[in-house]
Amino acid sequence: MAQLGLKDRVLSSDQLWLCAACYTCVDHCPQDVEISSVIRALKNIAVQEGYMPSAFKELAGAIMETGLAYKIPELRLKRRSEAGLPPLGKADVESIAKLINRTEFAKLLGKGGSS
Amino acid sequence: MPNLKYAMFLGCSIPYRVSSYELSARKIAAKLDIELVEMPDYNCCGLPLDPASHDVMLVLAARNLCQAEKLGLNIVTLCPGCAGTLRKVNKLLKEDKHERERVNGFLKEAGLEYKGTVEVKHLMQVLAEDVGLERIKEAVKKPLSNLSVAEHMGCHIVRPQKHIGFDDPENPEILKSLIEATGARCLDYMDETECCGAPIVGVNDRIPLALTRDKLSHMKAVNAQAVITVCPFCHMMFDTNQMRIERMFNETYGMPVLHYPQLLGLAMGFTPEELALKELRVDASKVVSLI
Repeated sequence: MAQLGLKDRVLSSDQLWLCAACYTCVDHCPQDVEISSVIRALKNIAVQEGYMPSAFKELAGAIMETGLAYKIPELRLKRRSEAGLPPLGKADVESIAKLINRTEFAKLLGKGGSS
Repeated sequence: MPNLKYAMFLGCSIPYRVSSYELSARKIAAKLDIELVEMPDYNCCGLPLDPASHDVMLVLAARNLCQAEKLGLNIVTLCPGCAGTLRKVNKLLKEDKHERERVNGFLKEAGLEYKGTVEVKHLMQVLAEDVGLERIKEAVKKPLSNLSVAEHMGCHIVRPQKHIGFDDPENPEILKSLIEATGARCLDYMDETECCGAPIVGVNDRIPLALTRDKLSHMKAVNAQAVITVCPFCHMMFDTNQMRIERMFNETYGMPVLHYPQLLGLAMGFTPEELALKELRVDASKVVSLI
């Protein structure tokens, strides 16, 4: 579909998001085509064009807020120390926000491109 | 022998919901004189956001590499997703001057610069390459010779081969040899290198559950007594989701799913409590009774 120029049909297709990025196609392609990178590029374009699954907004929000993809509840942190695990590192979220805000992606999050 | 001191990159998923993996990994690492230094300031490896923005993935990964460079230590991870992402980005930035300059342009904003002075390895790679099978065998006090298991190595620890360069993705041998070092038998089964489907959970649940179900049925067909994984996401598919699979397909597996460090830990003589076997969703007492 991408080769036929059917842009809207490609970018709005659910099929794009069914690629697990297992990279088996990359290892198997006799012509050394990075098929999973092509799919990833199409997903990136789909996101720029407004087809972003809501999960990614949540992920990006958690990373901007805590540095990690999930907000780890206090109870978990308490259990860590009870189990004798060392405390988790604390990410400098300001520095992370600065980096993300420099990318085009920040505009899609509605958080502005400057900081 | 190489210096066994690493920056421990924990990632997100393990501290969020798989502490049994971390606990058991730290136990076996200490036994093998592997020194793990905590990273005081790290962030998500970047992989989860790669589908949304490749640039965000690059800067997040590069920021972590910079933090390890500051510590002057190579990185070890427990998660193949983190290992694969950090290894790939490290290789890209070392080899591609243009990309390095572009990413450093972003990093400058946060007062950082990528220099390319560290390496990244998954714990399995550290065990196989830096510790070595001989030392692992020496640390085994209770060989698990009554146990026959199936391995599920997962994808991101080996694929794509040209970027990762560890083991053979079509015929992976390293996890098998690490399992056999514990005295357990590692069984071959059909479609051993297939993906568990975890990355698309949330977008579509039925497909990944069916993929994992196929693997479970192939493991059961060769009478595996447990599955051994080295990835928090594969573990979630086989362990956390096993009852869901049983309900969905009206089948019974009851197949215990251990993190490799739990298996090695049992062979080293740690108790099931010390290795947090209780935290597994599928009861692993069958495995313990065979030791």
